[in-house]
Amino acid sequence: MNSSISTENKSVAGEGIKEDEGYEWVIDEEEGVPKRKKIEDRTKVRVLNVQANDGTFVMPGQKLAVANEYFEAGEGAYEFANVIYAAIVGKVCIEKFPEQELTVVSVKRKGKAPFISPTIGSIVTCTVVNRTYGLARCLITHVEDVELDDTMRGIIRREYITDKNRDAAEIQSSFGVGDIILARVVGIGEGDFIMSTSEDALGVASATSPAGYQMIPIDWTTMECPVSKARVSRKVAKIVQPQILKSEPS
Amino acid sequence: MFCTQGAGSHSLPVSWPETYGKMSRQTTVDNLWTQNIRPDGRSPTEMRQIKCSMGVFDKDKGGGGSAYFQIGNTKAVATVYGPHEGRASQKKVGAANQDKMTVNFEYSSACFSTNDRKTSTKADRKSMEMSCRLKSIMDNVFVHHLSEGSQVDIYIELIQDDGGAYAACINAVTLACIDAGVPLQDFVVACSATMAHGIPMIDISAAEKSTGMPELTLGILSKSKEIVVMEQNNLLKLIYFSDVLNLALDGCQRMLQVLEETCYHKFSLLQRVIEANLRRERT
Repeated sequence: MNSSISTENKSVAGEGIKEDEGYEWVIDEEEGVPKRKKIEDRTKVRVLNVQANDGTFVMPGQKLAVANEYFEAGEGAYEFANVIYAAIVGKVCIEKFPEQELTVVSVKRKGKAPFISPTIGSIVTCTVVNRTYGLARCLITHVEDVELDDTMRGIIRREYITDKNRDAAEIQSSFGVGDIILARVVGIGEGDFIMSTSEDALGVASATSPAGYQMIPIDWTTMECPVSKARVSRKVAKIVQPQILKSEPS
Repeated sequence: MFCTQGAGSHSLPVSWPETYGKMSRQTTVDNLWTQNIRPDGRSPTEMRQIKCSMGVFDKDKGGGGSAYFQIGNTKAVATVYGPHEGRASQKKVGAANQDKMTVNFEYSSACFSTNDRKTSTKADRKSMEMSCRLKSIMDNVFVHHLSEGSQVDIYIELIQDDGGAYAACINAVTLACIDAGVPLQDFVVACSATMAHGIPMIDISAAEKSTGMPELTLGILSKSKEIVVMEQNNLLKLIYFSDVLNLALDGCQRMLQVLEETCYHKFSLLQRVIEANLRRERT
C-alpha cells in the first residue's frame, strides 16, 4: 500500500517535468515563481571563488571563499557548510601550495600573534628559574621560533636530562638558574609541561658565569667563563654558536 | 497629571491647527501613546543614542581587549584577558577540555547602577545568573578549535542600568572579544523590544520597564540571523509576539551597523598608526 501511494505522489509531483540531476527548483524571490536552477557542487570547485581578495579588511562572520579539499581555512578563519568564514578582524592572506594543490585562506591581524601553545614533540626555549634535587623548573618563552606573549611553566625531571647514563645525571651539575635551555616537550602534567633534554642538540644553549660573562662550552659537559676561567658542569646543547666562533682568537 | 478635558478638537476654532490642538488640550503623559510618542519622547521605532568604543584600557603584555557600550543611560564595560594558557586547576579537569577554549565570565553591576543602592553585587544570585547566561551564549559563538587548550577571562561591569542592560552587556562583550582577537563565528548583536497599547516599541528604557511592560531581549548572529538569545520578562500576548520579534530583529540590524562602524573606525586608525611608524623607521 505504502509503496503505491508514494509512487503516485511522485508522479503527481513531477508531472511533465524531467527529473534531471544537478538541478533544483528554487522559488524566485522577485517573481515568486519556482525556477530551475543548477545546483552548485562545491566539492569540485577548483577555482578560488574569492569573496574577499588578498589584503582586504574583514570582520568576523564574513564569507571569504568556498571550502573543499583544495581550499582550506588557516588561522583566524573557520569552515562551516563548505564555506570559509573569517573569525577575527584582520586582513585576508591567501597562501598557495602548488605541490599539494592546496590554497589556505587565513586572516591575520597586525601586532597580534595568534594563541600558540606547546604541543607534545615541539622544541621550546626556556629559562631555568628554580632547581631541586629531582627537577628543574623553567619558564617557556618560545615555541619553535615563535615568541610567546605569556610565559608558561615547565619542568625537567632528573631522568630526562641525558640519553645515556640516565641515573648518573644530576640537576645540580646539568643546569644552573638563569640558563637558557632548549628542550623538547614530552608530556603535559598537572599545570605544567614536562620536558626532556635527552638529545644531543638539546640542553643549555646559553649560560652566564658568576662573574657575569657569557660562558663558552669547552666540551659537552663543561662550560668556562672567558674572563675568570671558572668552570662549571652543564648539559650543553650541540649547537654552533656563531658569536662564540667569532670571539675566538685566531 | 491633570485630567483630560472632555472637549474635543471640534470645539476649537477652525483656524486652530488640528494636531496642535490635540497636543495642547488632550495630551498628557498618560496618553502620549495615542500620538505614537513614548514617555521619554521617542517614537516607537526610535532607539536611544548609542556610543561605543573599543580598547578603552591599555593593553597588558598578555594580550586582551576591552570595550565600552552605552545606549541611552545604560552603560557597560567589558574586558577580555586572553586567550592565554589555561590555569593548572582547569587543565586538570580532564582531556575533554583540552580541545576547547575555557571561558570564564564575571558579571558585576556597580552598586549605584540602579535606583536602589546595594552594598556588593559581585556574588549575588542575579549576577551569578547573568554570568552564567552570558557564558553559555559566548561559548556557542567562539570558534573553539582555533585556540584550543587556552583560557579566556571576560569581566563585565554594568555602570548604569537604564533598561536593556542584558542586550548592552552582550554588545559590549562582542566588541571586547573582537578587540582581543578571540575567534568568533560572527558578530553577536542584541536588542530589546516591548509592546504597549498594541504598539510594538524598540529599545525599552527603565521608566517603561517599571510600568510592567513586557521586555523581549533578542540576540542574533549578524550574518546568518541565527537566534542565540531570546528572553522575555513579563507577559505578552502571543498574537503580538511576531511584531515585537520583527522589531527586535530590525533593532539588531541597526545595532550591527553601529558596531561595525566602531570596528572600522578603530582598526583603520590602528593601521594608519602602524604605517606611520614604519615610515618613520625607514627614514
